[in-house]
Amino acid sequence: MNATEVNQALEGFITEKLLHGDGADLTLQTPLLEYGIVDSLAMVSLLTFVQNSFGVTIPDGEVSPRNFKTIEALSALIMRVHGEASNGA
Amino acid sequence: MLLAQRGLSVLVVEKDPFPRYHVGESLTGTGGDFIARVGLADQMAAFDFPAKPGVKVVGREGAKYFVPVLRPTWQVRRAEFDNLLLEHAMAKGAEHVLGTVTDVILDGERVVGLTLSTAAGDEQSLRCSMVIDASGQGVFMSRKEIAGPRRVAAFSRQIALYSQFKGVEPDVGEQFNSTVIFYRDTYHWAWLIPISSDTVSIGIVLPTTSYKLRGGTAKAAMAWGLGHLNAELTERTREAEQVEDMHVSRNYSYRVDPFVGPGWLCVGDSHCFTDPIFSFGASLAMTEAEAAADTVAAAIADPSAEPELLASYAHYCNTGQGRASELIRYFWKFPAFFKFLTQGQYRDDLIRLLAGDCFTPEPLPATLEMRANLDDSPVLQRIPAGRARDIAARIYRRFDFFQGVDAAFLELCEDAVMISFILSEDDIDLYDSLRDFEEQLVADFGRDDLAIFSFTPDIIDAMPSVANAFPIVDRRPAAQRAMPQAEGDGGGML
Repeated sequence: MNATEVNQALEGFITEKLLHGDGADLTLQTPLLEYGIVDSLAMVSLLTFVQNSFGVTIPDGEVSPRNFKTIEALSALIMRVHGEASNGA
Repeated sequence: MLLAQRGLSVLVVEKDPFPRYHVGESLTGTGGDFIARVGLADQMAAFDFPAKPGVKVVGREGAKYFVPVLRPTWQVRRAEFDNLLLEHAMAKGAEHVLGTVTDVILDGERVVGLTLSTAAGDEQSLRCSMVIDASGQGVFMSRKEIAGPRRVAAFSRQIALYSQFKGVEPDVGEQFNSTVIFYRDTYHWAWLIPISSDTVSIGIVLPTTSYKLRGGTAKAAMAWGLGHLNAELTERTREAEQVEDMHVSRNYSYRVDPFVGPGWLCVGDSHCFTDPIFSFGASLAMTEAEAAADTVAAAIADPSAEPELLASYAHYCNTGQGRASELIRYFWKFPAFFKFLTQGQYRDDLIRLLAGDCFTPEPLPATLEMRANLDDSPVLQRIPAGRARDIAARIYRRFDFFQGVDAAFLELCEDAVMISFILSEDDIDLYDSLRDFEEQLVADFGRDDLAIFSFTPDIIDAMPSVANAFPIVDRRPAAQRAMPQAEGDGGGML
């Protein structure tokens, strides 16, 4: 698993499930919260997607707007939590 | 009571005879502390005031979580509770007079007394060392232009409708007698606060625009709220019977600054009121009252230290009110994240903040975390650092929750900054609030090279293209707004 794969998977999920296929303008820096792309319902499904796709459980303390503000930020969080879990194993 | 028990001569002027109805029935942990410190805990037991275990939050999708109180506290019927405080103050030696304060007496810049007309019909002039304005939302000192103007703050343009009910289903188990907050969309929420073994206070809060859509009467809006705001609220109030008049407050979020000066100071709502969602009002006022009593006693003992003491009191109040306000802002801006904040490593901090423990010299780590998230917006980072971004940050902080402003754009032309607001309706209250905010912007950033325009729906076609502008806030439906620009697409402006 590398950052590019995580970015692509997140872009795919957000385009398909949250933007109903209309993701032409979606970039790694699109403000997900500011533009209402990720709301409370979407966040729950995003957390489930991250858990199922990458086997990564985001700790409660990391579920913060800073980590969900863009695909780039979320991807960095996933890589970090994944790395910490692997190192700890 | 705090001053009288120090041996000072105190006169309490109240307009209404006690006991009288007052909203704000839930006390926080620090409110419970205050009651214990002034020695009223035993007397509280004589009333049928429910012990409050904590706050339960029920979201739109039925998501629920519970935050316990930091220390024992109560839900109170303010008519009886406020009367208890008044009687206690009189027992400590304070004098009480029923009447209306009509004006302040000035000696140069200094407030040296009050004129009042008593309920008995007398006009009186009183001299005193210090006037404390505890007039609540009457903002007496501000109205007399002694304190600064009352400025509407974020979370404004809402209407709250509230009353008391019997026959409402209680919570069970450890959450029995909790305050319950039901929320739906941003700004649509309700409180349910048990205030005796058979009576609850219920309030419905709506944006003014939404209130108009629900028929524009308190009765219709209350009925809509009970019926549609949240399924649990509807279920629990199915058999409810209203037992108190309906009360209405609107456009109630504000700040007054300055709120201290030679010979006077303001406490609680008389200088600041924020969204009441976490029931901070009475408890923050009690915390401020203790600080005010210390300030007044010290200033009377050493008049030369008064300016410094008042400045320190104002800083203390601003610290606490500011942190409470950040907590509320975080809740509304990031409701889904707020739940996680109460569960992770910041849980203990959240319990303290919700208890009203907002006045610590240093902010708690949870406050720093919330602040970082509130300020760290990709929207702001796109704007070149410096004056333009500072202006944008001010607008962003203010308008992410400002009802009635759908969008705000910032455009740079050479060094000039041009701001355009898109308003959702043509409304006089909205103009007033916006003009108020524009004055603050101009006062802080200078009139030169700063142009501010507002567009209502009827003249929106006349608005110049915002294709080259930076969006600061844009809550218009997707179809009405250009798709967000990618980083660096600001093009010619950068």
